[in-house]
Amino acid sequence: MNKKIILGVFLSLLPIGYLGMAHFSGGAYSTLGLPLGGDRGELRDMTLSFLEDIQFKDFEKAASYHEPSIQAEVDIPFLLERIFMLKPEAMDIMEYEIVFAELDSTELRGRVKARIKCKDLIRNNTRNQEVIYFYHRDSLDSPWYMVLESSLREQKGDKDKKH
Amino acid sequence: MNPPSFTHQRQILAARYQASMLGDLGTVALLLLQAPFIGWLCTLVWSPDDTQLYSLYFVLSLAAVWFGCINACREIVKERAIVERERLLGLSMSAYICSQFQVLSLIALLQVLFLQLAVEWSFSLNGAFLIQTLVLWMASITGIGLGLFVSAIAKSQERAVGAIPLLILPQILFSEFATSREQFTDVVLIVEKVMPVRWCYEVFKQLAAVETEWGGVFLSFLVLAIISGVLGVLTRLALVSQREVL
Repeated sequence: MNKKIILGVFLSLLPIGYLGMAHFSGGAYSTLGLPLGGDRGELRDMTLSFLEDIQFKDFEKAASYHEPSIQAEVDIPFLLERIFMLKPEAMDIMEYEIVFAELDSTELRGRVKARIKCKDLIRNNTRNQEVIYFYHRDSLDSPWYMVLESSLREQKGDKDKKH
Repeated sequence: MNPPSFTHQRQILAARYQASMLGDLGTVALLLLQAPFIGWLCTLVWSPDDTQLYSLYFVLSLAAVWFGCINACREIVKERAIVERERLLGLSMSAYICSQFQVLSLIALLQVLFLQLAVEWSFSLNGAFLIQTLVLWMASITGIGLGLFVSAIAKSQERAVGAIPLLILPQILFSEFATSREQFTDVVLIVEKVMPVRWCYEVFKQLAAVETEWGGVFLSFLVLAIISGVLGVLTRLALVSQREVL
């Protein structure tokens, strides 16, 4: 009888333990749709949602992860072309997954690494590509915003600096 | 009176083995906790920024086989006297070996799951999680086969444990991590084909590839299953010869 009780308690604690792990890992394990994982979980979800928008070429929605003040200026097709060296219309995002998500010490900046399998529809070749997405927020209570635009646009040298 | 059927014997023996294991919760905890610890050590060595994680895949495959070997290598030899006595009363050796596989496989499943979860806590491995878990489990079952075979032929527990390096080191020596594949001699090429770690690693490689060759994945699973089966038969044969010696 005792063994059955112990087994029952163990089995009932198992899902709680799993969800606890899923939360403290920052959503590294499936959270079964529950809002777990804290900030890292939120960044993972945002990145997955962004990649889904890109996969379905919904560039307007993809731009909405940026700060409202610059959303209208974010040129997602241009940025995609810069990352993947492919015209968006020639690119098929086949699969994607999050490699990791992490926050800095202030917890105001975050970065998420994603592994993307994409196909060049013109040359008919497939490749895996890893991309890091950067996020920031103004305070711990503020929403997260993507800084894809600033981190991936071609870097121009500062003309006022020599070294 | 006829002895109980094979299935009945296997069930009883598995229940008895399980109960004896649960009687020593400390050892079970040690077996289970070593897996996430090794997984955590792996995350110290390999960082999420490593784009080429092939060496990690190899280490995970090796760890899975190792777990199986270590868990099983003392299990027959430690209770041989009891088993030999029970055989006189009609104990089926095949049922006995299957019961060992049954219980140890469950522990192996938990170990590989903990190992993989510990790594995935830090970063995601490239490939389908479920298939990776299955192949690690399969590799661990093959390790159990190796361990049980050693246990069946060893004269003492110490000798059985001492023989483990003889099973594990060749897995490393006959791999592309010891020398590049181009330098493999014909002998190395043949021996490599019977190394369980090689087939487990092959699945990881295939899953990480841009275009997964599912035929290769299936073949690897099949080879691991065949090696496990052959080891089970060899263990059974080893126990027959033990009886004749006695």
